[in-house]
Amino acid sequence: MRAEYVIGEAATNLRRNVLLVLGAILAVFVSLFMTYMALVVNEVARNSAERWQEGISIIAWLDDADLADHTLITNEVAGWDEVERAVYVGKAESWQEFQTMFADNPALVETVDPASLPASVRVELANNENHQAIVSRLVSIPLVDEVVEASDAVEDTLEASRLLNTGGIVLGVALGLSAVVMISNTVRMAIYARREEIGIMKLVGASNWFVRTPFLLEGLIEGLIGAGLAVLAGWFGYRWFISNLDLGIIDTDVPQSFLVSRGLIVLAFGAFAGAVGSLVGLRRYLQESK
Amino acid sequence: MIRLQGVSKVYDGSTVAIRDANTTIQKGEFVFLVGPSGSGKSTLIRLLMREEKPTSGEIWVAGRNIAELPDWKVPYLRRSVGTVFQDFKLLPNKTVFQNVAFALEVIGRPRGMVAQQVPKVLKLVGLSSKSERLPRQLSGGEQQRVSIARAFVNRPLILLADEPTGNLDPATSVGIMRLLDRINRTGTTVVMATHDHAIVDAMRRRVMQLERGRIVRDESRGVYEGPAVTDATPTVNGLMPTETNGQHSPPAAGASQEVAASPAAEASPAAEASPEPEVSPEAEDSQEVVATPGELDEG
Repeated sequence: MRAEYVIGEAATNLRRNVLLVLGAILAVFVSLFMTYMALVVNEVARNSAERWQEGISIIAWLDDADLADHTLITNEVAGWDEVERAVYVGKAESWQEFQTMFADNPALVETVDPASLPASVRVELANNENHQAIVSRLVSIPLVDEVVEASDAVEDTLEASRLLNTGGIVLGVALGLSAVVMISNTVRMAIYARREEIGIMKLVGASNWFVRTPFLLEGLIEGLIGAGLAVLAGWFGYRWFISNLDLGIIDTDVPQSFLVSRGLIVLAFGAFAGAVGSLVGLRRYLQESK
Repeated sequence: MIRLQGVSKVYDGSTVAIRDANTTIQKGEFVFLVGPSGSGKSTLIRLLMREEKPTSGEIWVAGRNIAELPDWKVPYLRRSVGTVFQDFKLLPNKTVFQNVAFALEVIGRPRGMVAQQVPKVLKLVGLSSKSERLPRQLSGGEQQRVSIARAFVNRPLILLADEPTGNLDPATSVGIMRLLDRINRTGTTVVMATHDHAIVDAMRRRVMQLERGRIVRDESRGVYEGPAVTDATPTVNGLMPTETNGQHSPPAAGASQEVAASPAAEASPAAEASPEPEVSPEAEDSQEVVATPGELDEG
């Protein structure tokens, strides 16, 4: 089978049904863009969630001191009425946390001296209304170096990102299925447009793969173009997002390697969806004798 | 070449299209399948090209039981079985040359072979001068010639024809029959379904009659209506060109290759003598096949 024949036939199919082909590419693009973004948001949320555990809304970083002094402060804070829970995180635990948070950035981990990481008290409030009062009371404690808080906006964002994470993946899967259906429809239309030709091909003994390959390539191209656009849009969208929006304490930095590896997965999935779509579209038309 | 053993084809569990068919067709034979519409002629053709599988029985084609042939091998069967249909099945947007070349291209034949074989076979069917025309610029008879050229260009062992003259007027049909006869003389087995009395009676070849899915008659050098020939002669005189007259007397003993289409038969004694499937007719010979008066009027 000549490569130029297969490519030529696939190109003809793509040209003949421009609108359908664009529709299929768009379907792949939308679904894979959603999936890609969901993956990135998931990563951002995972990074942040490690520190902002469920319910923890204030962190008081402590100056170095004896464990006894630290325990005293923790106990005192825990005793406040407005406080639901106060958890002490020592220097060793901080170091562990830091290592997990930046596990994909070993160079950074290398440069940090475990001793330089401060201990902290993580505070969970019973009621968010007392937020400001608690923050000022924490600041006034002599051994407290700095107080950081999850503002409502941050809470909202975290909540949203969790929703986006599940919703995005569910939506991505649903749209991914629709992309497969769109591609199989497009291929089916291409087959329908050429049914005479295919009938004659089979009559004179063209092998099934000879008939199939151009359509398979067509689906593959549609899937890959859609996925490629999704990755590009996701990549630049993310760059724009982190340079234009300041989400404060949420760590929005996702390593390049993550973007690349997930981008490749998305591309592979696009190709896969294209191939599956065209095979589904081809199945009925290439059935042999009954 | 072809052997049917207890072949039945039942549709939807109840409609019987072919009922216990048993027969053998030798290499190089020319067989007419006759019978009324719905008698199973077309089903038999479709079974032979494995467009359909028999419900039971064995169909041996070129040494293989095609009832058991896996689907993926069907294309390879089709390469040794040429097919011609009533509706020509040409691609409207391809020229005559491209239509014929298509059959070789899609089975992966090298370009050099295509360039060499297509003009040869177009010459055989008498369409060398029209190779750049589109099908719609041709008469029905010419379109059928293209379709025969496409079926034959790959030099199949068997040529199956399902009502090849069904859409053509009698005079044009004669030209097509001469062509099929000529192809048969190269050693190609021809099986043709038809209900054209005149053609069958004129050709005097093996006739297999089907009646509600059964082979009810099988005669070598038979006619359409069974052993009683009396009513066939007047019809033939009315339809066929004069040259076919005289062929309706009982065939001379031993003249097994005798046919109605005498010019074609006389013109290629070499092809008759040698069984090799190579056809290289003289140019004027092809012209002679084309120049049937009825066909020229048709366009």
